[in-house]
Amino acid sequence: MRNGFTLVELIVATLIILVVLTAFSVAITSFVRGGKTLELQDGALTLARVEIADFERRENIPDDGRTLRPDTLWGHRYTVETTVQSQGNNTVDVFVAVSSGDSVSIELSRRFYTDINTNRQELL
Amino acid sequence: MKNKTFRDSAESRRGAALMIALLAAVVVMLAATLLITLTRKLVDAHVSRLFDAQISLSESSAADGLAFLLAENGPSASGGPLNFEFAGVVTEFSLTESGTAGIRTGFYSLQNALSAVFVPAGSRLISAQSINDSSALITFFRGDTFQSTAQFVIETDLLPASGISYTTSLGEDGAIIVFEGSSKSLICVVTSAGIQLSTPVASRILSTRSMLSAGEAPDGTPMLIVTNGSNHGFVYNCETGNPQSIDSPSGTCPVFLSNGELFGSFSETSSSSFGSAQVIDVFNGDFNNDGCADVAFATRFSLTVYSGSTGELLKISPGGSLTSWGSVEGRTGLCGMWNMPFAGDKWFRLGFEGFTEFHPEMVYDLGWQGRFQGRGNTLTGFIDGMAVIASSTGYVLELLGGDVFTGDADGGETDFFSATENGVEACFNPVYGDGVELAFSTVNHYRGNRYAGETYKFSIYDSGSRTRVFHSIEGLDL
Repeated sequence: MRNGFTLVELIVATLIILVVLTAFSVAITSFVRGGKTLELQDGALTLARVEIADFERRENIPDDGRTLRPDTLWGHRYTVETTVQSQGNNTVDVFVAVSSGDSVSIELSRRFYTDINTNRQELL
Repeated sequence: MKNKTFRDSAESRRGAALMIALLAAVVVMLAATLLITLTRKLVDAHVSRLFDAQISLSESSAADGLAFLLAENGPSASGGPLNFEFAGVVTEFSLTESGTAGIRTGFYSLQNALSAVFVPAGSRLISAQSINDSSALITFFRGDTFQSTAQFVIETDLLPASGISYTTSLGEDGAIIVFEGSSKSLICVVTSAGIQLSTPVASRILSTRSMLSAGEAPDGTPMLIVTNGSNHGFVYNCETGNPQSIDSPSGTCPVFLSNGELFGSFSETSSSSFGSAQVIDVFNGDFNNDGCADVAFATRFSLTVYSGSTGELLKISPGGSLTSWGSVEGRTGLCGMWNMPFAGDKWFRLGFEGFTEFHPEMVYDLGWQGRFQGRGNTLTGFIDGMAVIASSTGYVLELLGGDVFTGDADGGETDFFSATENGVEACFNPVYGDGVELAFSTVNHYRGNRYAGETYKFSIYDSGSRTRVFHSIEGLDL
């Protein structure tokens, strides 16, 4: 009898390794894709917070309306959509939605009170 | 025997190969599992950050809502259930502590503040300072957070010399600032939106004792009255820079009333103010309680009130030196103290029948210098060069020292300011005394989970016509 592995043995071992490597490459691809999506979403969240913080620093909340503007962060392109909506009784809601393509969209909202006798709590 | 050993060895090698393949597979699978776990954790952390962001925004919205509620209903609003819901987050406030907030103080940060001109203007403080040989910097500060909200540069080689608050016809707080050089001036009208007007004047318009008053012409043009305290002065059209002579009765000076009316009459020729008493203080108020704006003038010897409703001038000059004067709401009204030769100090107050002598409480006799302001049994003003608050209970507190100036930078009553090298210390509405401080802890409920929130401090100040609420996160002074 010769030394070494039999053909069957080699086929079985190769099959096992192939299956496992395929699963691993799927995991790697998913990890890389997920990481990129997370990076995009983190960027969107940062932009949304910065936009809200900008409103918090303002002395007056602008009139009702919707604005759309492009922005970039960490090399990614985003669209920042801001909606200002008066709710009556001195309250104004601000909605900020940041999206990048079809896959990523983050929305944050903040309520402001327009009465001049109260200061606004600022975040960030 | 030898064959059996050889066969056993070959079989064991075959088993080993499968074991190696399986072990390699297990290692790779473990790595894959680790990657998947890591990805899941990253996703969870991101979702958590997203939730935290919205929860903190909703919590801040709720804190603003509670401030609004307290401003509307006063401290008693803290007694009821305090739940606010926004963007799916329910924020619950629980009162944990209540006490005295003290008189509201603040600090406006500004480099080289000692060289700046400051103008308290309604709900903000405005500074003007030269930054180099060809430009000056104008900064607007908010009265609640003390942060600068607008800053812009005026191209001029002149130095800021003086300024006065000015409210536009749209109700926006601004200032008229006068820049001066050796033989020329620049009148600038500024609001937080920027420079509204910048008009050169081919001469110096200020003197060492200049008093300024800002108002508007009937067509809405900003106007600036400049006098040296005498009953004669000039009204400058801030659009053209053209001056016009204006006069007022002796013991007064031309001035705009708080309702925008002009006190004084235009004259064709420049009349002499020789021998006229120099006005050292002008202040607005409703001194005869008729609901109309009046104005009071203090000279070294007299106190004169112009009634905005009747146009009548009421003057008292009992023969001594006027050393302190002011208005005490809800007590003596407009009054003043004269140091009489050979007769000591005498106090006179404005009543229905003009000025009459009265004997004041102890708190009036603490040695006030210049103008004081009072409400009930509390007086604020200057004693021995210090800004002081005192009450008839004997309580005396020094507020600020140094070169103190007054004005209104928060839309309330008179505030006191003292410039230092790095900014301006401020003491707001001291005549209204201490505020109330409430501390609330917060809990947020979101998607079935409970999240502990921040602890908020709310300081509630009454300033006559309104209640103001300032709030901050405990440990984080804004």
